[in-house]
Amino acid sequence: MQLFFEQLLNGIAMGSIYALVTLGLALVYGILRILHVAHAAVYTVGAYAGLFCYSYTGSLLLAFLGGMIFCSILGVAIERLVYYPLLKYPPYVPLIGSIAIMLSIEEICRLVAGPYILTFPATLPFPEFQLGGVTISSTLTAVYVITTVVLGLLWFISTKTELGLAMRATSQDIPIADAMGINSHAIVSIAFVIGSSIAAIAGILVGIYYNQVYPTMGTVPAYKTLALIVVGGLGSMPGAVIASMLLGVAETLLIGYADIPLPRDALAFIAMIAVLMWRSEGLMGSK
Amino acid sequence: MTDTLLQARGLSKHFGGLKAVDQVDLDIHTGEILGLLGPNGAGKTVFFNLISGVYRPTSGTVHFQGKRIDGLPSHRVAACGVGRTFQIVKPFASLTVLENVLVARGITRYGTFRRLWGPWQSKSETRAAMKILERVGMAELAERKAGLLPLGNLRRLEIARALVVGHQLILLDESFSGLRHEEISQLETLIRRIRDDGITVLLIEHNMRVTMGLCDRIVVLDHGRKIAQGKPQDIQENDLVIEAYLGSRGGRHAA
Repeated sequence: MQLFFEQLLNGIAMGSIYALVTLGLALVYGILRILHVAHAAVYTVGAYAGLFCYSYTGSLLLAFLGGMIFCSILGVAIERLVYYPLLKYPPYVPLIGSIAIMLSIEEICRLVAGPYILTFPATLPFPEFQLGGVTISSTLTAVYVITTVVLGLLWFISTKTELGLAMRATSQDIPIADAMGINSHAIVSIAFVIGSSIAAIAGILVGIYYNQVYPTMGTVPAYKTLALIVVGGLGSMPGAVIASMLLGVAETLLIGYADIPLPRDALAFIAMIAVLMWRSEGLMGSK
Repeated sequence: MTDTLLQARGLSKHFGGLKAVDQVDLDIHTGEILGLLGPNGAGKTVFFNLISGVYRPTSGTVHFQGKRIDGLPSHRVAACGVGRTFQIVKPFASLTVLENVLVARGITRYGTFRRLWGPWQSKSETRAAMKILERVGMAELAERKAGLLPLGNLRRLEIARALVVGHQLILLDESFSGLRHEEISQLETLIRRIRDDGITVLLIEHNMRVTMGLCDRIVVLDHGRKIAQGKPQDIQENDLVIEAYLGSRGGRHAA
């Protein structure tokens, strides 16, 4: 039983991190209808930038801040230089562009930082908990707290602020939003800043959680988050979060317990295929 | 001497070899209902898009209240006080009627970066939006999802949004098409009332009866060129206009 709870807690942490990365993807898909595969590369860059700031300053706060700023710039650059000019083509064109960016960024990371696994020897300054014999490590606490704060902020922004309303309007129809006086291009860029900042946070958390940062750490998340936004319902942010949480828990529990002769990464794609066959609009999506 | 609210001079838009709008001069006078008439493909909607900033003109200028607006992006034109509707109604389908109007209300607030983080559901905002909805007669539908409304109501909603943005001028792109008889006369009343409230109206319309009855002045486009302008009765008798709509007289009679 104790093992079960430990696995459950790990699963929730895994799910939280999936949720953080998937959110950015859902955000971009919601507004531009582009599958932003390169988002996972932004996440990798976030981990590297965070590690770099951390080893120079020794401050985790600066590491997070530096990662977020760097990734925001990268995200907006991708949007302005690649996606925006490609928007007038059919959706597979920006998708191919996105894959190309992801591969290039991975290679650039390899060239700049080397093809090795770097360690991220930091402990997050969060308390440890004992719950009936189960230990919640400080890293787990950090993942829970940070995810909750990020989700809370995002919920607040998208439902309560002017920006949220402008984002919803922009995601429905860009020309109309323009006619309503919304500078939709600026709104799109803000969405990229938000999504990329969250990706940076996720990258740094993963780096610390596994104590590993390496050039291809974004590859599996790239495909997995793609599966997750399909399962959650394309463009639906609550759907993306729910699907991520479910997957995180299912992966850790099923693979840890049942003797399923499958690599754990296969689960996301089985779920995606199942969703596409029986409920193609996803968990929370609308047709 | 009437006041000129919007002035277009030598306005052209070419798509490759196609002269969609060609050297059009047009004045909109403050407080009038001006009709833009012409057969299909005459360039009416392109002209709208040039004024509202969707397209950048190939050549020519547009001045609005003395300020040059051609080439500005559409959100900036909107911010000057030009509201528009679209030929194909496009509400923000997943938002409620009230929220649709609130999006447009944001125009007073999207200006600064800091304000973006402010709330949008304040009491005064909602009250102002409700007032607009009352004006177009949709107050009781405020909480409905916009995507579920029938066409007549969508057209009103579009006008409501345009009114919020266009406190000076609204551009109506075929607001009457596809409507039933009684809906048309209600909308005519609404547009007259809008004009009486001091807002200038430029409208594209196919329905001759509506245009002739509603507009103070009419400008006719054909193949991107302005072929006539004047009072409705003058337009009705203008040979060039009749030819544009019915083909040349001689040719038809011979057949």
